Amino acid sequence: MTAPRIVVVGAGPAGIMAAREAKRRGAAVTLIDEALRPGGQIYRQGDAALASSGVGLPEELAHKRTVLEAFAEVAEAAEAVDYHSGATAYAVFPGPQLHVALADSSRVFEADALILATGVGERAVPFPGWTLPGVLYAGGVQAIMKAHGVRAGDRVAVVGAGPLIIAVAAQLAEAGAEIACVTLLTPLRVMARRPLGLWAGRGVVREGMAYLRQLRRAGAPVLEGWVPVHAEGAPAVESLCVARHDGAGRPLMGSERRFDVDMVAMNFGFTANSELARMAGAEVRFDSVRGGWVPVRNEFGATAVPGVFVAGDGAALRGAFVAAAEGRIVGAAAVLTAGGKGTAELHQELAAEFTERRSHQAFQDALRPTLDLPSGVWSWATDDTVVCRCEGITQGRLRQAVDEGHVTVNGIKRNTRAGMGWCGGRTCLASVAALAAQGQAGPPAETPPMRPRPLARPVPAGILARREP
Amino acid sequence: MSTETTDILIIGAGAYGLSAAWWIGERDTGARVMVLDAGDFAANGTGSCGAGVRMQWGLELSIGLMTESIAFFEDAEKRLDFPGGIEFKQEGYMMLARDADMLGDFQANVERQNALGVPSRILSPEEALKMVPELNPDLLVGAAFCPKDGTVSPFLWLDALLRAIRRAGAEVRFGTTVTRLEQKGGTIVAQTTKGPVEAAKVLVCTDWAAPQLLAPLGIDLPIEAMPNEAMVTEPWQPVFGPCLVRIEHGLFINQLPRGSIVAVVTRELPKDESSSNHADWLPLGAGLFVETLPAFAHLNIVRNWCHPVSITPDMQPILGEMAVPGLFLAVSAYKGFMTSPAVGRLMADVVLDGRSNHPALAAFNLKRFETGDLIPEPLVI
Repeated sequence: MTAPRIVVVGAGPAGIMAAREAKRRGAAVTLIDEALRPGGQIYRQGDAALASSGVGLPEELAHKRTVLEAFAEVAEAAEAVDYHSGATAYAVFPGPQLHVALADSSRVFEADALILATGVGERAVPFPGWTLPGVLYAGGVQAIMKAHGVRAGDRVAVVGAGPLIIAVAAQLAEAGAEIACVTLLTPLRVMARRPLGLWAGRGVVREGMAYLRQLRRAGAPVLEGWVPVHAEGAPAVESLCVARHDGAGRPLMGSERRFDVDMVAMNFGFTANSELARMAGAEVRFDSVRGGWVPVRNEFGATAVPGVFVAGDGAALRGAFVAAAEGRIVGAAAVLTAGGKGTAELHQELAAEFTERRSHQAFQDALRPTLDLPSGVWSWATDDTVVCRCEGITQGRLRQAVDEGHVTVNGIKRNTRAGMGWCGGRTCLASVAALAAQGQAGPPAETPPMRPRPLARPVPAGILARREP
Repeated sequence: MSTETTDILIIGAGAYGLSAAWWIGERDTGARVMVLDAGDFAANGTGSCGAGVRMQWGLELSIGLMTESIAFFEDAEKRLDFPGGIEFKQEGYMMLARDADMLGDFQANVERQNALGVPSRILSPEEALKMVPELNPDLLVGAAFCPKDGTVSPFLWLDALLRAIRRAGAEVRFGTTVTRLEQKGGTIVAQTTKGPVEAAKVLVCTDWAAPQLLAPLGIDLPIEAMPNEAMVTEPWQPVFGPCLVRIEHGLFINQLPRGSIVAVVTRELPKDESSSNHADWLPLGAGLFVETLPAFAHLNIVRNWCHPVSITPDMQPILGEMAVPGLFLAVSAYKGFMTSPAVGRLMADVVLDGRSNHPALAAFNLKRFETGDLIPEPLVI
């Protein structure tokens, strides 16, 4: 029997662990990654010459070492994994076959099993001024610190929802920035509703407390139950106005506070990079907290499309620990399924990995309410706020389309051009879907996402023109 | 479910359906018009096309339809009261001749077109390169060019029509599929996913999907669907003027006013109503694009889409009343977007009056497929 060909997309925790597991089980493994060095967004490695990869607290850094050691194991083995860095997976066709842009040409990888570990992108909620220079995604700010050892601002407001906000604010303070304010949509204490989940994640909770202490020492006000109202400045951001909200996300007038800043770091959760899975034909379901439209899978990560698996945050946002455990499950299941093993055997063989995933998942369930966005947040944008940055489409234009009866995401897209630009709709999709849902008087779950088409990421024409045989 | 009634029911809210609805409103007869579409806005052929409009055809009938249509596009902002306009970039179509034989054919076309009032002309390679400096000079011995041709935004065109006909009182509904047409006395009942609609007259503008709707009425239409695929680049400045055509490759390149460059490659494929992308298309499309405009090899391709177009045996439209009284059909044969102003007008006349003296109506009837009087168009891309 020849070894099954397993193609993994994404060299973050899920992808690396899946590749190692498949390799250990005798598969011929190909690993495709967009970045130049392995680790994914969460364990992004800096330029080797910079001593910047130490951003993070001990438990996180220990896990990062584990993941990178797993990469080293498969990359340095005698019959190493076929690893392509700086490579863009831009399409999936039946087979499954994966189309990839390499440095100078494009190539088709035929697979017995395709494991998509493509992670998440950051989710924005547009507010007036959010497109000003100096307003950045919080994860992006962190990535700049990790990869380049650069602090992107000197006097900073960090606004958004969920624990990433606290981590980024503390890391910026550690890097010497003055933290003007930190705002969280929902107080972190809501996690206490699930004490068992907190206990399961006690290591992470301890590190989160350390970040909060660090912020307190730095004198940074942490405002819980607050939201951004507007950013101002010319040509770049100079101030941010924030306000308490009414419980549904709408700012309470009269409670505003204004902070002078030269950078705003913002994050309101994440959107799953589900383009490739959807292109492959996987069904999706809507989960506003776990990434929006996410692929439907079984417990082994298999979609209903034969040979197409999804692992990690790209399947549902649950963080690096779940992703790594799930990577092992999916990597093993892909090989074992190709070898004809049934569900019962898989359960028996992967019992330990399932236990580990469940334990980390419990903590993620406790975190969940901190990332829930009440419907009022989608009213922060005023009529002249640009929502689709690529095409310059404003909230007013989108509302007009909805008022004129265009109440599907695809209909709004073709009527206004929102989502037709460079990013393929990744940035504005959540906003457009929220507006579409208002038009339909139903939840976004009932609005199918924009139709997945190549290319999942832009690729130069010259590279597409040169396809390797 | 109770039956709704209207005077004229139009099925399909693409370029043909909406243009016919607008022209029916222009006649001010007081007829109530309802338009139903199975999808959402611009979901089918019009929304997926390459956006080119041209007079440079080989046949008098085609040239006539396009001369009228381009005159309307020039005036659309005013006629449809659509401030901002429909992004008509009227900077010509340039058809590249790869050898002397092809240039000879183009020369003959230009003479025929000139006799019909089309201001086309032959360009030397130097003149062509002056208009599009990025063009690969090795690809052409000359070109045919008509400055009246150009590109219109299909999305803005549909939006302009949609708003105008709604202002005029027409009812337009998306997400409503007509599943069946039934004759009932002197009227036609359309069974839809949202309940029945009874109308004195029904105009079917669903392009390649028309045969399945008309077959149960005993009407056999020689129309097939063929997939057609396109891609678009990131925006790039400055914008070159003309649309580019390499007819031997079925290649059409169009830089939109906002800077993105659309490339369509039409090729012979088996009949297929699906709009799934083809795994071998991007190397083909990007390959021809880079060969034609080598300076743009660095431009990122952001999207690649596929949608079927309608194919008839002579690649000409089918227009007119069917054997069922009150039932009308307008199918484009892969040029519905660009011919929609003229075809909408003549279909409005046919639907309201039962006749039109437009020569296209007499020529593009369904009977020609029985009698064998086909009207092949030599300049299909």
